[in-house]
Amino acid sequence: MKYYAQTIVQLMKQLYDNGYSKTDLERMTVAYQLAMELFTGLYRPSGKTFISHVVGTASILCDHDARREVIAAGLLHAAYEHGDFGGSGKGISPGKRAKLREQLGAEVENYIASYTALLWTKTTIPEIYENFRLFGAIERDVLLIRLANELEDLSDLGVLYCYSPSEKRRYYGRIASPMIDMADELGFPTIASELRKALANTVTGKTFEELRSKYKGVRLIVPCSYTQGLRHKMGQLYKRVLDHR
Amino acid sequence: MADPQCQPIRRAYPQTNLQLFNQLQQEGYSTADAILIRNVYELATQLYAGYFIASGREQIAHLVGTAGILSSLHVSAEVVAAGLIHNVYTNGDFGVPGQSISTAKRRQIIQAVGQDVEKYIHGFYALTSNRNVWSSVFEDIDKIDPVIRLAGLILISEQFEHRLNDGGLKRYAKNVDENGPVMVEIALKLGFPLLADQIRTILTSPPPCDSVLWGLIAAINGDRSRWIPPASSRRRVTVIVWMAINRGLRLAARSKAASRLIRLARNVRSVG
Repeated sequence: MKYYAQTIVQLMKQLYDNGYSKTDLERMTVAYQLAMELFTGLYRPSGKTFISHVVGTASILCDHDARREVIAAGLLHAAYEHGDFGGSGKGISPGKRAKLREQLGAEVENYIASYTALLWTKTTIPEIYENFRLFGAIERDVLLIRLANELEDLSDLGVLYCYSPSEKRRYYGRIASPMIDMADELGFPTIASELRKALANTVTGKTFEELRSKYKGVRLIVPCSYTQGLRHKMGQLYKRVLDHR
Repeated sequence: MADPQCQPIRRAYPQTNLQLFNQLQQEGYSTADAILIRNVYELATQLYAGYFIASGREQIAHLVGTAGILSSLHVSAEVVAAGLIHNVYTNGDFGVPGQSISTAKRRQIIQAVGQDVEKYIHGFYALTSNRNVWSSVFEDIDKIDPVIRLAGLILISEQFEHRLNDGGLKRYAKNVDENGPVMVEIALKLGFPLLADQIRTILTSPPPCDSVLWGLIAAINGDRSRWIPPASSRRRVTVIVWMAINRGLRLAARSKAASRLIRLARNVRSVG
């Protein structure tokens, strides 16, 4: 398996070694600063920090010589879904879009918004697979970010440390073939072959089964000197009431 | 743009919990060892959440890297676990202001990770508080307490980890560059020639590549370590009150000291 960057220092070195310009590197530092703000204290279900995951995704994109806008979008691909903007609500909103557009530019923000809009579930993936040949340039890039995200999740056996590895294995068993085909047809045979290897590793890879996470979803850990704000707490309470109904 | 003189990373040490767990598996650590290390990692996520070092890396990546170096040396799981929270008394957020050791903090750590791990963390704290750590502490290695010896190994490993990853920033390169030969000697005396060899190699390699790259990396976090709390959080009231009291006390002490100085100056002038 290839080794992808997991920290900003490793990513910057990789960009530098791959010949990205100084302006490209500067844009990446801006994107990373925003990622620090939005994903601070966030952990994946496997216990890995969210920041390492987004850096890893960007690193895979860099490995395939993606444009700097695509790599920056890779660094913030989950901004609307999981980013902490200070309010209680998850998901896309005009206010959040304006913030990202202001800091990253319209093109990068558009990628992130399109990424959020591209529903990626076991039921939608076959539909995407049927139609992806008709995709325009932006949609193709968004699909590339999605594939990089999946590869990042698989590359360090993270799925085996999740709450339910068997469920994850079943999920990847179903979507493996369309994912690999899409990567191949989009012109990224290395991603396709890395996905193939990573998927095989999730079957044969040895891990400590006892280290499986007890958490099902992404979780936020607030530093001990801080507490969640009242607005956020009220929002959570409101959501819980709605869920009960 | 790539610089052929650029210093390669000789060995990719883990930077995430998953990479560390995979390494532990490869190094042959037992399940019980892995569980201990996972539990300490969980504690580290609580005490260092939102803490970024000057290079923009998460502190947790540095801690995992240190633990990765230690596990590659096949030391006991307790020492690897201690590497995961080695500077908790100075950098961990316990919810109270002040960056120093206290009985309450020690009690909390012992309760969470056990005495067998905590003793190394305490030893690490004692070493870093000692100005002569590189000049005289390890002179006669046979006379040193075994806990302090391994705390010394943690100290060398964490300095090496910083040099390996953040070496383009002066603040992280300085310690190894100045004390590297002593660190090599100590690593050899402690019986870790592999680590000594790696430090020696890094000392004889050209310095990390391009200043432009490192200038940009330094700018990410303003070349300082800091906490970035989640946007939806706010400081606890108790912490705010604590900080206000501490600030008040500091100001009072400063004004007291200032008035003493003024009085002293007046006395000197009148004597003159």
